[in-house]
Parts: sequence; C-alpha cells; structure tokens
Amino acid sequence: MSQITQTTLSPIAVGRYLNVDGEKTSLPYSLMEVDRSRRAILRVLNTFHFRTGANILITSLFDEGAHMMPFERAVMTYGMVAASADSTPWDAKRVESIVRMFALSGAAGISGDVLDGLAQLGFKPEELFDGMKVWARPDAYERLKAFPNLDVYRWMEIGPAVAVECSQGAGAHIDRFEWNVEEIDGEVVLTNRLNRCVEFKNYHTGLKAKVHNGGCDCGNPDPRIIPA
Amino acid sequence: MATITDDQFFDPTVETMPRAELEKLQEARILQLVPYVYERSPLVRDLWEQHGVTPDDIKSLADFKAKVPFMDKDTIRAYRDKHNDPYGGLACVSAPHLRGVGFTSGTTGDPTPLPRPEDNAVVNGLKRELWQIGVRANDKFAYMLFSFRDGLNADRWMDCGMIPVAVQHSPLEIPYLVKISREHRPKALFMISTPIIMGLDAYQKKSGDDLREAFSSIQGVVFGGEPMSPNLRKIVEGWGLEIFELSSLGDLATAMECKAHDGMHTWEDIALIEHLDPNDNIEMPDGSRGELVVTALTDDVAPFIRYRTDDLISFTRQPCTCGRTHGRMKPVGRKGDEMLIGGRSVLPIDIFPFIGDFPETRSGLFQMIRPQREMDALRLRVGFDPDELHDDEAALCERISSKLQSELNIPITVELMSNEALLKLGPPNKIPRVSKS
Repeated sequence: MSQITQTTLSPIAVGRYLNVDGEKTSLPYSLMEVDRSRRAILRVLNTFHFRTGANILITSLFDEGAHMMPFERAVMTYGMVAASADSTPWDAKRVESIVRMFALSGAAGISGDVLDGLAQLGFKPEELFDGMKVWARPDAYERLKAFPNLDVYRWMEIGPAVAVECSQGAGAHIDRFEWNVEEIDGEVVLTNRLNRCVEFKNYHTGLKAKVHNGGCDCGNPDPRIIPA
Repeated sequence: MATITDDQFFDPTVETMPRAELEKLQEARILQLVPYVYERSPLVRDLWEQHGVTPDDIKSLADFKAKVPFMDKDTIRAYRDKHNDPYGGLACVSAPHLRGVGFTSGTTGDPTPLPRPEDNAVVNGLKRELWQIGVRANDKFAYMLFSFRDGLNADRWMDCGMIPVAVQHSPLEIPYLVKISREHRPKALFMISTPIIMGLDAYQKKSGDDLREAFSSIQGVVFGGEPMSPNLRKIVEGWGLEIFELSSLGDLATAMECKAHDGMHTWEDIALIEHLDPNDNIEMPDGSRGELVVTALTDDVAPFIRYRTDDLISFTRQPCTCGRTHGRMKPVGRKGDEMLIGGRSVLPIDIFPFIGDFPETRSGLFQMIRPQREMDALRLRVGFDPDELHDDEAALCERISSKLQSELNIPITVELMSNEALLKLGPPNKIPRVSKS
C-alpha cells in the first residue's frame, strides 16, 4: 500500500461563503482551488474576445477572496488591467471616478449596493455602464437588465462556488471539473469532485434555479445556472 | 544563514543591515532606477527635462538627492489632466506587466490611481511587521484592510506561510470578527480603526461577550489611519491587546511600530526616505521634524521619484533597541493641515490627547475647520454620543472649549455633532480631521 493515500490542501487564506441562511461562514481555500477556478473563468472570458490591455472594473468586498480572486486573476491572465472598488454604497464615488478616468471594457461584481450608492450621488447606471460588458450580482441583474442599451451578464456566488455568464447570456457557467452540479427539487446541490480545503458533499445551496447541462452556444460545456 | 524558523526577524539580512550597506543597496537600486524611469515614465521625462536633468547627471545617491526634481500630488494631477492620462504619467509599463490599479482613499478628492505590479511592496513590508508581533508560518491573522480598493492580495502572503483570515472592515462585521477569532485563533489583528474600536466597545456592552477571552490568541493589534487617542488606547488595552501603530509611507509602503514602541520602522530597502525642510531641499537634523519625501526602490510599474508626501514627521536613523537598523518616524500631521491660530502652529495631533477626556466624546472624533491657514480662533467640530450626555450640549461645548483652551492656550469655539453624523462626512472608517467648512 502506498504510504501516501491522501493529501490535504493547505489554505493560503480564509475567505467566507454565505450559508443557506445567508450567514457568513469562514472558508479556508488553497491556491490550487483559486487557480482551477481562474481557468474555469478564463473559459468564460474567452467568449468575449477582449483585447490585451483592456481595463476591467471589479467591485467586490475584501472578504470575497475565495470567490472573486479567481476572476481578478483571470482578468490579469488575459493581459487586462483590473481596477478595484468596494461593492458598497459608500464606494460608489470611486466606481464613478474609475468609469470616468479609464476606458473600461467591462465591470464585474456590480451589486445592488453599488447601484443604490450611484443613485444617491445622482449617477445613472444606464449612462455609466453604457458600452461595456457588465457582470451583475443577482440583486442588481434585473435592475440593469431593464435598460435595453446595457450588455448585462450574471455573476453569482453559489455557496462556496462561483458562476459567471458567457457572451451568449444563457446562464452562468460553473466549473464542471470542480463541482458536480445537481438540480434537486429545483435547488442547486453541489459536491466537490477534487480535493479542497473544505469538503462539500451534497451541499444544498438554497439557490432555486434551473441547471442546464450540455453544450452552450459559446462553446463551453460547463453547466449553466439560471435562477428561478 | 538565518532560516525562516529563526525567531526575531523575518528577513534578518535586510532588517538589521548596517547603515553603510543599506545605503550601498539604495544606491545600487537608484542607479538602476534612474535610466529606467527616464526612458519609460512620461511624467519623469517631462519633469526632468524642465529642470535640465538627465540620467548622465546621476552617478551616485548624493547626485540623486542633489539634482533630481521633486514631484507631488499636484504635479501628478496636473499631468493627468493635461494629458488625459489616469496614471498621471507615472506608469512605466502597460498590461500585462501592469496587473491592476489600486487607489488612494479619496479623502481629499478624486482617488489617485496607484498602478499595481505583480509583487506587492506593502505586503513585503508587512510580513516583517507581523513576524515581529509573533505570527509565524502556518499561523493565522485576522486581515481587515480598510477596503478592497487595492484588489485581492491574500496569495501575496504565501512566501511567509502566514494565513490571512479576511474580515470586512466594518462595524457591522464585529460579530463575525469575534466568531472567527474563536474559530481560527489568529495571532494578530491587522488592522483596526476608530469606528471598529467603537463598534467592539458597543458590542461588548450590549452582548456581554468577553472580548478579552475571544481575543486571547492575539499577540498584537495594528491600529492605523490616524493617531490613537488615549481613551481608545485604554479600551483596546482592556481587551488584553498590545497595540502597534501604523502609518502610510507616502502610499508606496507602510511604517509600523515594533515592540519597542519608539517610532515606526520605515523600510529603507523598499523606499528611499528623505527627511527635508518642508519648504526646501535641505536635510533636517536627525530627530527633528521635517517633510517625508519618498522614492520607490522596488516598484518597476509606476514608482514615485522624490515624491513630496506633504506628511510632517519626526525622524531618526539611530538604530532601534529591537535590533533593526532602518530609520524610524513619528507622524506629526499633514503640511496642508497646519493652522496658525494667533501665530501658533496647530495640527490634529495636538487635539488627539485631550478630545476624548469626556464620557460623551470618548470616541475621539473631531474635525478642525480650516477655511484658511491663519485664523484668530480655532473652530472645532466635535463628535459626541447623545446617550452619554449628562447635562446639555451647551454645557458640553463649554467643558470641551475650557479644557482645550487651557491645554493649548489658544481661543477655541466648539460645535457638536453626533458621532453617527460625523462619521458620515468622510469615506467609511476614516473621517477627514481637517475640513474647509
């Protein structure tokens, strides 16, 4: 018998995920998990044909490393520049300032809080985000979709996982190598397929959604999530 | 050679480098930097041409200090506006070498973009600081940076093995901070601010939770962003925590106290520190007050070159009793914040020791109103907790002005504002201590 039967991943950091009740739960994560997720997100970014040197605004929170770092690193891998702001109402001024100063090709992680903050300052999202790809969190997605001139896609945290929508806008892709994704009674249930710092077996995420398997028109076979 | 298991220093070779060797290292880095920035940074080229300086003129550290022109925030903003360049002419490279853009806090206007390389000079300095607090490989620390505006850098700690446990820097996150402190037993808490301390204090009073027990694994807590008032210090020490104060080193790195608590260590291998007459290019005597001027020695993306920070510091290059050899600074205030009241210099640092002396003003929140530099009397906006008010607002105003007038010997008028309202006047977790109106 081999002496090494199982290896344990060492965390590089501890982030957090929102449990089924929406409460923050700490989530140790490793560099391998970040890098695997980065590769999955690259499969999505590839469908937009961005150019090296483009600028992407990323709005996030400091404790979202396990979820957003792979996106940020994918942007960098693509040779694009990540400009950062908090996804809070009170950092909306920075969001506006970045949009004004930089020629942005995209904006990711836009939340309802960001939209509220912009509205309080008198800025209109349909003007600010015009001409770029916008990945919106669930609480901002429908609000932005209401503006026909905007090009809006989904960015979703699903428990410990992340899902990002491709250029076809037909559901947010989730990494098929990392997660076994099931739809049980209309709820997304996750099981990790590879070693992680924290195991998730038949994890009921609380997200009511349709899971679409099979190929997407973008060419990426990763399953797609469409919230109910 | 020292190993990573040696106890006292994370990087003993650099941290205890004799002064002569340190200056040799600085000179080597400067002489590499000079032609690099002249060729690549549009602002540097523009500025140096205006002053008739070329790389051929710089053959030593002494030449650099004598001949290279200064830059400051206004120089960068002017270049940015004139050339429609968000980086203000500082960027020496473009993507993919340029990875991201962080920003200054934006306390005084549009946030200034800070282009980010792959490496992170701030984190490189902080590893040394957390090590001296007692954090070692495989230890965790609570990581509460003020915001995400510099991007995500948890993976930049890998080469020291320390594990950051990220917590959002917000009073709303206090219960989660307490929870992860019990769950992950962090060795340090990096970092807290006035609103976090107020939030923890209120949480403890309301919940009855024992913070001394919750934080018992923490060997040091870092406080930054502004001077710490004696009352806040007392509250934090009441939880059994040793406090290490931290300040920015012109936005290119940080400086932090060691266990000797006798000034903040500047990392002179990361930044060339000059300590100059605020109105001239004259080196100030060791131990005296002067303006901090910095040059980034390890940033090849957008280095500041002889950047006048506007920060007034007292500075010494005397080796510290902790064994480190790099210079130490004590922040005094911002040059642009100084007021002359009846001819007497007043800075926020003069107010901090006294403002929290009353139960209503324990939070230490205040703003100096500075419509112009010279005034006959100091106008102070002071935050207070209405629940603690034991007479009335007029009486509290009177008590505060009497106390400050007797301590500072200048005329003062006080206007009150609730802590909650005052905190809304600035960006989160930081209020401007000086305001035009």
